Amino acid sequence: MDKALELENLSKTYKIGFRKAGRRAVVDVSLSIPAGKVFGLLGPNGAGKTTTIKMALGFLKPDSGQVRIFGEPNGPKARARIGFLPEQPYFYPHLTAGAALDFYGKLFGLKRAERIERTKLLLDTVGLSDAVKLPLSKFSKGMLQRFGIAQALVNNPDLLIVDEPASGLDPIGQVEMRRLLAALNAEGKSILLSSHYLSEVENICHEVAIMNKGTVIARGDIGKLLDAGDVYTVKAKSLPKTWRPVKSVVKKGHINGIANLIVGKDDLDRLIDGIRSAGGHIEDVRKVTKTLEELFIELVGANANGGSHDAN
Amino acid sequence: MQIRAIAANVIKEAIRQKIIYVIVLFTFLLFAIEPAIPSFKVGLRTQLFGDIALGVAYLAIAVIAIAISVNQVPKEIERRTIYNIFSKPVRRADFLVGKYLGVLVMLAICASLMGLAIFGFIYIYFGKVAYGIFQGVGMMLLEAALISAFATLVSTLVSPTINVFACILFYFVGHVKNDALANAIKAGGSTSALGLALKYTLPSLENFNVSEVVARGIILKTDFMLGLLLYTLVFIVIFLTIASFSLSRKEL
Repeated sequence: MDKALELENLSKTYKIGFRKAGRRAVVDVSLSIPAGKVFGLLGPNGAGKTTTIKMALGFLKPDSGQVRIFGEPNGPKARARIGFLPEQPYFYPHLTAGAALDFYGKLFGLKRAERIERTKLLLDTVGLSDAVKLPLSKFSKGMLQRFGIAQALVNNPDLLIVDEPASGLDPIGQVEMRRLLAALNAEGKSILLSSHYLSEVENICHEVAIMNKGTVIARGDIGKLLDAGDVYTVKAKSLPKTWRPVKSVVKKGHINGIANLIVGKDDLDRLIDGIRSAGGHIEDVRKVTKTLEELFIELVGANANGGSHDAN
Repeated sequence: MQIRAIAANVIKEAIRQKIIYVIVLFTFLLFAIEPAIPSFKVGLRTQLFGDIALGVAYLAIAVIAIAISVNQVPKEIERRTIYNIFSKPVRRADFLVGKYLGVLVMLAICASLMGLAIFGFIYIYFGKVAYGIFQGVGMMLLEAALISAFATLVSTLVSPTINVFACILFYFVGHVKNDALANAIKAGGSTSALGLALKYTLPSLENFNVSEVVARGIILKTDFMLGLLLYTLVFIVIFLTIASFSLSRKEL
């Protein structure tokens, strides 16, 4: 499969004053983002995510390692295929939304007619079509975030790099952002998403990498990473009060008359038969997976003792 | 297109920052200068007025050049607007040239307006058509262009506050260097060598000071002006090349 972005053995140490030894922000990080996929980059504060993204975009020079964008080294030609939304995006406050998008379009060398068309389309897409003549200084934080996405899409990029896209958005805005990213991915765009919102990553990413203390401690297919083993959850209703499940049921609870039962694979059939013979109805049966939050806490905690995980 | 877009953005922002108020202030200053000139005969008063007004304009345009230039690059880094520029297919050198050209256009507008104000004032108050003023304005613009290029270079290395002090030093050394170095060169030995080295590596801003000459109505020779233009261009290219190298190594 083609690679949208390849980071090979990237390392970066920030110098502190005149001291020779500095702070190691990123140590030997290698990541490969397949074309057409959504790749999530996770990690606690100070994990090295932003430094990694900055090296990928050429804002920082790595001490060692290489960056390739669609097989090419980072340069104007490669960057013409990228859209970038920085964390806490800042724009020229004196420009209106329309003028700012026009300016960013010029930086990509877009022709006037194309810029006009893209400006209208993008402001419509992010729900800012009424704000085309409003100066950016009058925008709320959420509006600026949505404008940030619009400017990142001005060149119709093949690879979108977004750093905390849901930051500053209300819950509805976050859902809309997630839908927008999913829609862009459905169009074939590759996305590198760095986020603290684990549900956001869990819902739209195909692959993830978890960073801590400058290194990648887990990476791979999100389904495989979240697989908790052979454990199932069974939801059943209309069970008589006197009914008792098989002994191996490890957890049970009732919400609105629906029993929620967790059982191992070996006893799943026995449990279902028992529910049916007691006159109950099976509402849902599904394999239990960890939440990304659980995985994240587990790995970051384990990493303090030097663990790592690879789902590939 | 990228350089032009960046330059146009600099102009828009400079207009928003109301740099043009300096021109209004300058024009009011002309009204204050005129009554302060002693009552010589009309020709001499015109010369004196032209000389003083151009001198004030030289200083005003240098202040504007420093004020606009020192912040162009640091402000983009501090505000993080630079991420939205360098994540796009923009070379750092093109960004710098765009910024510089934007400042230059702004300086040209300011210098022209000041020149028109002096020209109009002399015509209305002294009844003289002093075309030579515009030659003075041209030299004033070349000096400002050189100061701005120096400020742009220093802005890639140090903070705006230190840059302002560096520019003030550059301005004063540039104006007194010819006289100061002449003595050093005469001294002989290593002092003479150092004097010669400084003479040819530091631009002499005093070369641009033609206010007294043009105020007397003397028309500058084309050779002289072209020579100064070339002199300025060489230093601008050197300053911007070093600035571009410095910015290309800068971590953002």
